[in-house]
Amino acid sequence: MPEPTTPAQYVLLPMRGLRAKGTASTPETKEFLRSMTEGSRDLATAGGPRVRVQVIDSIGADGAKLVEVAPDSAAAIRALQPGLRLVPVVYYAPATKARERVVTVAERPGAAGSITLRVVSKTGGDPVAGAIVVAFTDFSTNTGAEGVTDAEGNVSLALGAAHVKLERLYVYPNTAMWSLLKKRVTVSEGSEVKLHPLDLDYTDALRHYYGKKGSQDAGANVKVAVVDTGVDPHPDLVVDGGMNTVPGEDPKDFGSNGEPHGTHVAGIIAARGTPPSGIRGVAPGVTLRAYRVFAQGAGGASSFAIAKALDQAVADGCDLINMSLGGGSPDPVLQAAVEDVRAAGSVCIIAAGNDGQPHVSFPASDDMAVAVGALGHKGTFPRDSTEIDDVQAPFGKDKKDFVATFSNTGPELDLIGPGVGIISTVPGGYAEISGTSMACPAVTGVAARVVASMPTLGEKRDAARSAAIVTAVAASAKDLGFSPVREGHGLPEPPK
Amino acid sequence: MAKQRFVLRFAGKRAKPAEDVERIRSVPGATMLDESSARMLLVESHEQPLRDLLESLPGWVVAPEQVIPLPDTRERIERGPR
Repeated sequence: MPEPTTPAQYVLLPMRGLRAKGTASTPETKEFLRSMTEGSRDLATAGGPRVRVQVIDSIGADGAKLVEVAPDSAAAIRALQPGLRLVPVVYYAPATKARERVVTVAERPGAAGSITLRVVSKTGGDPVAGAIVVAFTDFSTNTGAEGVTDAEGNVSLALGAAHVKLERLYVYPNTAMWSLLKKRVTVSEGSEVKLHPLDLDYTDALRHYYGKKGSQDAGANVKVAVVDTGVDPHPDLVVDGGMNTVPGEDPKDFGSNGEPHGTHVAGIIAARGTPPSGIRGVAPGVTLRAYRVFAQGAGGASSFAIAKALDQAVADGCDLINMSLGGGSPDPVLQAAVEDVRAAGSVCIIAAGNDGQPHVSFPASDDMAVAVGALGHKGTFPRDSTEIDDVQAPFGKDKKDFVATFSNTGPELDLIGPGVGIISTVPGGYAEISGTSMACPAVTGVAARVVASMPTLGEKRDAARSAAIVTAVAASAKDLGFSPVREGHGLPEPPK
Repeated sequence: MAKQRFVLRFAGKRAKPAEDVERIRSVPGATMLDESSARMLLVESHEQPLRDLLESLPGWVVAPEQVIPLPDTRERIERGPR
């Protein structure tokens, strides 16, 4: 049984402003706020236990409430009243200067003391080019060397000796292979590292929960936006259109910025291939649109580009907006853009972040977002892949289920999805990647199938429409046996 | 204080008012970097004169531009061996 958590203070307030006025709030929202007079009450939730809410103070009858609730009840309250925001009370402290840090520069590769490793496929011994190799001599202090393999699969690592005992050796191939983690291994000049090739018919975590060969029509008539690094042409993908919102770049260039991230995310939602020659996403029938917000090359994503992409996705009629991105401090502009999406009848589904912290990163932490954490399942990746690092207790009702070590958790979390060792499309092929970035599109795919099954969903694009979507997706979720701060409502399941 | 890049967003259902945009453009030292969005502006400016103006223009939200790095879960080296 999940352990009870200590109540914390939150402000419960309308989507816009401090009072439920005008068209921004539904009659149900106004009525609910009026019913929340000072004192304690137990609220019935959809399919779950009642949650206790203590109303401490109020700004008028239809205004914001200061409430005390258990953090693990936050997701249930948001699902119960999707037209309201539930924001943790923040107490500000004086700003202090960050402590300086010293980072020692590694030796130059190719210098005396460098070791060349060769990375090859376990099947056939072909060289693996473009793999990132990270060799730790001391993992606790992040000491070691790293490099990228050349066309022959070779990488020169400045490790300072001819024979080196590594605490850990990580290899991250960019395509076609599983990653590799070796612990306590001694390497010397010419040491060979062998990777498992990807099998597109393999049951990874995504296919463990959602199957490999769902209907090609799943998610039909639902329009989904991928706000990311762009989506490249791929035999398994059909991109309906999109826009590049990076200032100064061509608006029509919504293909990849050179990073595979967005193409991988798109495949998890909407790939239309059939194993073993291709892969299938969770909702291959959706109309997929790509909005590139990351600048060309290895550039970051500007808050301006992201907010503009959200506006454009709404203007293009997208029902769901996948945002496998986050970090930085809360930004009022981005917050307003996410709120405007909800007011326009659409929903932002956002990755919770990969910091392994007990709080969800922004913008997933915004109350108008659906925040998604990452789940894994033992046995859905090779035992010597880097994914073994992501396994941690506690385990779920199914003892092979775990919340990934990297996944941010907290009361802001709404749902959890498979995000450990996920095989999907990348420019020129297929790759496995882990992250809440992968869990997020898995949930978006299921959400698309839920939306497709809602014939009564109004044509009118307003806050009531987006609230109905959020409520239906939350209601589809299955409790996996973790506490709500770890899994939110749980794992959403597509309609039968 | 050096100039910064700010994102300005006009709250509400209608497009950003043209007269507001002209007043923002005329903030001393301000450079309009992107006005292609129906609701937003990307402006490089000193902070105080921009915020002073926006106090008299209702409906605008402003924040310094943030740049979010690409998320991943890869391990990284921070220092070389001694």
